[in-house]
This record gives sequence, C-alpha cells and structure tokens, in this order.
Amino acid sequence: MTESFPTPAPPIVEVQRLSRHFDTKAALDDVTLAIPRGGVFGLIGGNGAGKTTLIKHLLGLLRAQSGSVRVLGLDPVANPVGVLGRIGYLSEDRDLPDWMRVGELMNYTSAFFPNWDDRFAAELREAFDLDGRAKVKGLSRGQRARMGLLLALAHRPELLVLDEPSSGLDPVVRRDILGAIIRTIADEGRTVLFSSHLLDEVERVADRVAIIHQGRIVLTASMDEIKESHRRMTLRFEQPLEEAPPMVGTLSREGRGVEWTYVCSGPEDQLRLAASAIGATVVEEAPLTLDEIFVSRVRT
Amino acid sequence: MRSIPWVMSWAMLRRSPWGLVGALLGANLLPVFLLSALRSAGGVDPNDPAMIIIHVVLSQITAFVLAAALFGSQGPVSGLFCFPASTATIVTWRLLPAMALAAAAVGGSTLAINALYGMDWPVLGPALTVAAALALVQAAFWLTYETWWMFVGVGAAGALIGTWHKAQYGPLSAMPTHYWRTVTAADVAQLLGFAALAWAGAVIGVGRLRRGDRIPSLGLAAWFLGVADRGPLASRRFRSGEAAHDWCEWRRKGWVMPAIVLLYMTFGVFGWLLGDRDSRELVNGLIAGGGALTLLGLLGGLVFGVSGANGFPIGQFLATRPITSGRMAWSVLRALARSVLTAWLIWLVALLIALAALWTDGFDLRQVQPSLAWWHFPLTLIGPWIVSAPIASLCLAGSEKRFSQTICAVTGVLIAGLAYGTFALSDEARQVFQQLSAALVGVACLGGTAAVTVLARRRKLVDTPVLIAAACTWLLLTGGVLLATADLGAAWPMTILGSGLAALAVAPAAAAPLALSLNRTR
Repeated sequence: MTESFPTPAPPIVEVQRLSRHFDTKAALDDVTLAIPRGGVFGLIGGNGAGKTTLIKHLLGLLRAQSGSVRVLGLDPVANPVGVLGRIGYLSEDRDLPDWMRVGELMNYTSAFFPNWDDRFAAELREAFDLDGRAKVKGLSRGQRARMGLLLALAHRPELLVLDEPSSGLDPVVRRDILGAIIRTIADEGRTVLFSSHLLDEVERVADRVAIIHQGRIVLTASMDEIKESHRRMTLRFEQPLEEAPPMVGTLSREGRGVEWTYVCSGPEDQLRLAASAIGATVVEEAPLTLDEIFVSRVRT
Repeated sequence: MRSIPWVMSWAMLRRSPWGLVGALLGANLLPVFLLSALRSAGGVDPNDPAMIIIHVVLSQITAFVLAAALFGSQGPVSGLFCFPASTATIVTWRLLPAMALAAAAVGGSTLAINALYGMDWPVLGPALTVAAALALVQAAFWLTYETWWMFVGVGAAGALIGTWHKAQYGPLSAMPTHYWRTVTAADVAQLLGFAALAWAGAVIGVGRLRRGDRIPSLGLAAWFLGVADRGPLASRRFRSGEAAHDWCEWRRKGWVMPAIVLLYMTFGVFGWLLGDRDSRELVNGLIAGGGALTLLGLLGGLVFGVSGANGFPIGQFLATRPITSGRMAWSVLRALARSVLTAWLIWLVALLIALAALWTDGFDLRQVQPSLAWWHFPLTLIGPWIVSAPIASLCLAGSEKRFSQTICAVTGVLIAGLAYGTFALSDEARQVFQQLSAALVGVACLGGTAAVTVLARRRKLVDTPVLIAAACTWLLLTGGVLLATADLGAAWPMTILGSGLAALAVAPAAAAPLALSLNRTR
C-alpha cells in the first residue's frame, strides 16, 4: 500500500530498487522509498529487518550493490561532504570518541558544520544535564544517547536521521524531550527520519511510516491513512465453521464456531461488502494500533 | 563428564585452537631457524658456553609466547562471574589447566629441540618455571586490572620470575655459566611458593573484579592525568573540520612514539649511569637506538592506522563527519609525520648530548663508529616513516583479516626466501639470488606505488599538486639512494631496492586516502 505523495517538492530521500547482500543473506531486497521534505518519517521493523542497513546507505557508509540512493538530491557516496554536512545523525551504537571531554567533542564537531548554533548547543547541553568537563568515556548509556542527540541537532540539519533514538533514554527524556525535539524540527519545515521498534513512540510522533521486513518495504503511507485503512472486524457466520473462509483484504484471522475476528486492510465499505459476500455479518469493528498493524503485516 | 575443571579446560582449548597451534609453531620457529642456521654453518656445539645463553634467552621467549597465547585463549575472566562457583574455584581452574599446558608445551618443545639438534637442554626446570610464571603474571594482571598499576604489576611479576629463572644458570650479574641440570627440592619449593603466592593474589584480584571494587589508590595517577589533561585545548575553537581532525589525530595518537622513545632513553641513560658511564657506550647505544626507531615505526603505523574504537573498521561517528576521505587520511598522515619527527628529534637531542660528552672525554664519533656513513642520519628519520606510513595505510583499509593476511604473507615470503638462500644454495648462487630478490622487492614496491596512485587518482582522491610533490620527493630520495649505493659500492639491484623503498615513503599520499575511502564506504 502506497499513498500518493504528499507534496510536489522533490523528496529529500529517494531510494530506487536498492539491494544489498551480505554474503548470501539479502539485507535489502529491491527497496524503493521516497521520503518527502518536512515532517517526521518513521522507519519501523524488527531486529535484522534492514533498517540500519538502509540508513547506512543514506549516509554513504554502504555502497549500493544495485539501485540508487539520492539524499538532498545528491549521491551520498560520491558527495559525502555535500550530504553529511546537511544531515544530523544519531547512530544506534552511540559511537562517540571516548577520550574527549563533552566540551571538546562539541568544539570538535562544531568545526565541521558552518551552521553550528553555539547558543542552541549550550541550551541542549543544559537540558540534557551534561557536564562540559566530563569525559565521554564516563557518560552513562543514557547520557551518551543525549550527547549524540546534541551533536546531531546543534547544527540545525535539514535532515535528522535517528537510528533507534530511544535506546538508552529514560522514559521522561524519551517522551518529553525527544518527542518535543522531533516535533519542533518537523514544525520548522525540516525532516526527521527515525527508525525504531518502539511502535507506540512512532505512532505518537510520525507523520508517515514505512514498515520494513526481511529487507523489503511492505508498507509506506501516512499515519492517518494507515490507521484509517486497517481495522479489526468481528464477523458472525450462520453456521459454526472449522476454518474461516478467506476474504479480500484480510491480513489475519482467528476465532472459532460462528464468530471470527479478521484483521483487514482496505476501505471500510469494501470490507463490509466482502464480509457479506462470504455470508457473514459484521458485529463489531475497531481501529488497530500501529503495533497490531505491524504484527499483522509482518506475519502475512 | 561435566565439571568446572573440564568445561574451563575445554573453553580454553576451544576458544582459539588454531591460535594455540600457531603459537606453539611460532614459539619454536625462532629456535629451529637459529639452530638450523648454526648447524648449517657448523656452529652447533652443545658444549659451547654461548649455547647456554642461547638456551636461556630462547626458553624465555618460547615461554612468553606460549603463556601469552594460553592467557589470550582463556578470554576475560569476567565471563565466569555469573556462574555459581566461588572465586577460589574460578581462579584454581583458570590457572591449573593453563599452567599444565604451558609446562607441557615448553617441555615438549625442549625435548623436540634436543632430539632434532642433538642438544641436552634442561627440560623440567624451564617447564615448571613457565607454569609458575603464567600464574604470577595472571595474578598481577588481575590484581591491577584496569588501573595504571597494571604495567608495573605485570612487569614486576615477569621480572621476578625471569630473574629467578636466570639465577638458576649462574650469578645474576653475569652471563649464564652452566645449565640448570638438577631441579632440587628447594627449587620446587620456591616454585610452589610462587604458585601459592600467585593463587592467593589471583583470588584477591578476581574477587575485587567480581565485586566491582576499585583498587586502593592514593589518586596519584588520577592527579597526574588531570594535570596533563588540563590546558587551553578543551576550549579551543578550530578554523575548519580538517583542523579539528588534525587536533583529534594528534591528541589521541601523536604522543605514543615520542613517549616510547623518551621512556627508552630514560631507561637507557639510567642503566648507563648505573654501569660504567663510558661515553662511547652511550653513543653506541644511541646509534643503535636510531636504527630501532625504524622498528618503532611498526607500532606507530598500527597506532595511527587503527581508526575505530574497537578495531580497524572506522566507527560511525568518524565516518559521518562531513569531510572527504582524502582530507581525513591526510590528517592521519600529518599527525603521523609529526609524531615520527618528534620521536626522531628526541633521539637526535639525546645523541647530540652524548656526542658532547664523548667530545669532553677526548673522543670523536669516527673513533667510536668508524663505519658510520653520512646517510645513516637521514635514514633514521626516513626509516620510521617508510615503515609506519604504509602500515598505517594498510590498517586504514579497515580489515584486520586483510592486514593479518598481508603481514603473514610478507613475513612468510621473507622467511622462506631467507631459508632458501641460506640452506639450499651455494655461496655464488646465494649472491645472485639475493640480488635478484632485492631487485624484485624494489620493482614490487615501485609497481605497487604506481598502482595505488592510479586507483586513487581514478577515484579523485589525490590532487595533481600532491602527485607532483610526491614525485619530486621520490626523485630526491632516489637521488640520495644513488649517492648512498655509490658510496657503498653496492650493485644495481640494491639501487632498485632503495628506489622502491623510497617509493614507499610517498605511496601513502595515495594509499591512505584510498584505504580510508574503502573503510568508510563498504
């Protein structure tokens, strides 16, 4: 399912038929994805689904074996300075130079970015409760995550790429600070791409979502459309059934006897027509959470 | 049978079986090579007093290699902390199987050498000593782990057992005078005492690590580090990303080579002051030290070439800095050059001071080192660079496997060539072989440099001015090689070899950016 593109502006990220194999394992398999400018784009998938591999291609850390990658209209491998200078990136492993002090790391990083905002960086350091003289090596996991976030944000990047940003952050920072930052950046017209497997978080902040599973994009759409087009329907049949009959748009079904629950994807009226076509009446209908949609999508 | 001793022994052997086999072969390679060469020259005489020295030195090297391999194959002790076993049990079954294996390996190696070369080297004493040494060093390691005392502790434990071992062969302050033929009850008691001391220390050390306790400290090291770490750098602003990365490379790695030279000089001068204080000996030592700078280049290359926090692959933080791979690689090379130059200057200043002392004593350099040529001095600077910069470039490619394969292949070819030339050829044929080999190595260096330059150029990683500067530098160095070979009266293959080595001095200008770009984008 792919919704029509929300803006006429060229996408900030454009991936065309990208494939990547590690030995015999396909980490990315014919991935095509466009991320529009502005807003928050959530990339969700289980462990080993290919999220980090895709992000590494966007940063030019992996060369496309087939297909193409354009970020801000540029090839990140051919033009690393042009791309990386306009991206803020928080890596999943929070890889930072341990031997530096927080203040030194801020000074070091600021030298690479002409747009570095000292005042904003100082505000963030204050908000994240980081001591400028502390060694990076001595920072806790959560503090490292906040440090990485500070470095990614302080030059006000056009595209902010956050790989599992919540990992290591305590619930307060995650909900209040991270959420606020992501929304602020999006409201300023900039773009946030973040990968996560915490689906409640994605549901809370993302405007658009792509689900990646086993190296393939299985769904890309706006959050509203995803929510609208997925529902749980409880169907009643006239006779008890050993096995529920298949229905158009069904992602999964379970139950027994005369009542069966279907998780479906598609317009409501069409699903109702499909239900009557198999001799069932809809007795209950409920929206799905992103978590439920994700599970039903990756199980099919 | 499933038991703690069994699984711990199994884990030690299973973790790195080929590493252990490699260490066993490697530890015996030097004695075999040396004794084969001596036998080929008719120099193996079991009764020769020099053989005692060779035995003592070789047995200590063999013991060190085997013990280090066994220690490495056991993995970190912290992996055992969550098992329901007492600290004493963990320590006992970490030490005993490793001690038994080390003793068996050293004993077996000595027996094999005795059988192969008709020697009568003592077996039991060195075998028991290596077992005690392994326990002592492990105990010192655990007692001082993750503190600045680790170097002192491990060094002191090694020195204690090494000195004790040496004392079995004659007076401590003189060359060995006899073999350690009989292991007396007193020797066994002392070795058992070492082992018991090691066990007790290891239990205390591992217990501390298991509880997460810090070692009692006066805070001297922390104070010193704090003082050394202060300064204007923390608040320094950089004019560009490249300048920031220059600072990063120098601050993180630049001190290593100068610090080692300084340490070496300090120990050397200290030893000289304790000895006969003959200025000629001091100058000789420093001249030899100048040659050793080239060996130090091996370490320097490794230090500067490893770009990741946990190994050769570049970390995501560094890889995502908006700077080209060429500029980043040049930062590494600039810092390395600065480090080599600083180390060399420290050596040069020390040499000048020693020469002044020599002059005061009424001697001059010609009297002390009559064969010393003019090119020795520039070579002490260029040598470390020729070694360190290509090794750094190789490491920058980001693959430990490729690096190990290259080093093993080069070492293997060198040893095979040396062995072939030494044992399989007549004197005349050997000369031709050596000259051909020299020419071949030179051509390989020149060809390799040309190839990496073309590749780097195709990827737009080197600019034309850099290429011109590199070519001019190579021509200048080759000119120096021509003068030096003429001075030595060496044959033309040596000139080709020299020219090839000169190419290695400039090859990193293209090789380092190429390697880093491969590391950065996989």
